[in-house]
Amino acid sequence: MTNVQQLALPIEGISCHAWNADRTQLAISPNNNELHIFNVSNGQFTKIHVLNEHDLLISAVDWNPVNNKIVTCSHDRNAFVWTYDSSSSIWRPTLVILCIDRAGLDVKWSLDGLRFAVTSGSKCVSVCSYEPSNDWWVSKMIKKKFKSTVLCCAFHPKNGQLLATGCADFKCRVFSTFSADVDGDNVDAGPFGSPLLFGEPYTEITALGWVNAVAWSPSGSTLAFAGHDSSIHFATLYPEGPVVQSVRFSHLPLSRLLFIGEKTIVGAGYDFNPMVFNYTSRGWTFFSFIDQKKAIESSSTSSGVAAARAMFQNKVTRGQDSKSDADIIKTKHESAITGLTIASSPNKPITKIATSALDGRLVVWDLPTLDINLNKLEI
Amino acid sequence: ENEVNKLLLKKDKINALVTSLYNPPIGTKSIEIKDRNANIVEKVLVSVTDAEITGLIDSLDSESLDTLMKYIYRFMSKSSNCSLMLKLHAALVEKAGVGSIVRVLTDRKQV
Repeated sequence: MTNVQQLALPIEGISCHAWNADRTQLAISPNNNELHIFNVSNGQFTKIHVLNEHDLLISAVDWNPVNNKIVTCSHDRNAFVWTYDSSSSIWRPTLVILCIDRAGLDVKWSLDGLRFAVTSGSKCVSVCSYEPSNDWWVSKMIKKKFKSTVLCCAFHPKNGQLLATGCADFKCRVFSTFSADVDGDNVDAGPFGSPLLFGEPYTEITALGWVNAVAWSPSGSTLAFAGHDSSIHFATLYPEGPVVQSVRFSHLPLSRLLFIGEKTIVGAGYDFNPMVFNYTSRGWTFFSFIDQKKAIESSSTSSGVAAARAMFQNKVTRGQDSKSDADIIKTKHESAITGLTIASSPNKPITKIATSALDGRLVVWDLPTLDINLNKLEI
Repeated sequence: ENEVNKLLLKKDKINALVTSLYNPPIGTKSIEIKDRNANIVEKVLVSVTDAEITGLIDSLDSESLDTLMKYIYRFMSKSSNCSLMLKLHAALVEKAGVGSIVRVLTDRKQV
């Protein structure tokens, strides 16, 4: 059963959302400079904090499960790291100086919470790590190779030293974020073989449109990225180079990706409806939509007088002759989806995912109870 | 070009379309080559009757469908045979969906 919550006004919309470690709290930004934190219990969402440090729209938020810190980045070219002070029950912001001269667009923690990366319109990615001596976050830039806005980033799930980025110059690149201060001597190149220094690209894969979203599979061996040309590409990474499979689909482009299993990925985008792709022996293919459009019982009556009245009423209200099915939005979301996260507790099999959209709604999808045949998916 | 003419004479319109769409000149900067290719494709498309449209579109694979969509938009922008182009567009969208239109708009490699 899906849980639909209207957390912001439909004219505002939600620009991003993030859950805390045990999914009892949710942070959202209603498409403005505020960050709202909700307490979630038994399906009820209650707003407990409104955080107001940013000057312009908050474009992305991420909540780290290891150190319980929230990082937000905004169009005002800043990022804030929020730490919860339980003695006074408030969130304390720490400004991070990123040295970017355009808006920050996406921010992600690495899974161990030691660093986070902010992508920006100034053709660079800023990777920040904590320096305890001065109690602040130091940023280092990755500037190489980007020829345009960096739209999205994702850290490798096991290895905080690999960062995949998607750029508006149609390429997806994986960079090394190895830093001697943070990692010491543990250099780990993951599936790539020989390690590289900070800011060096391991690999570069071309798509045919802006790369809107990038995601790693749970084991880190496959990288998926979505292009604005309604395509999704899957790259299996080897030291010699990636092997890429591209899937072109007949719907509107995706703006977010999430792996829910080694062989299953959910994408959400401008179609208001999350899509599931899975890997079979024939390769990656589109499997189904998550929001199954049930046939709406048409309220059009069959008797003559009432039908005629309904027709004239439609003409008055909508300027149309008959109640056309195409006008009724059948999906739970009524606007483009902007956020896609796992809503069930981490370290357990994924049973719930959450999507937030520009219609101000957060929908939690309970995967086993949906109408799609999950047995075929091998989650 | 000769191949397409031969196939047209034989009234084998499906193969004529497939051949003309094969290997479109998206890499070249020369306007001449692009114009010649477009003329050939147009000749094939003009000879298609309404009833044959769905059969024709069903026989194309996904890459050719995207290429055909690019040509349809090119011809529409030049206002040539627009009514035919609109019918083809409608049939193509039924088959390939909104994604093919998105690909025409986002792909830098123009046909």
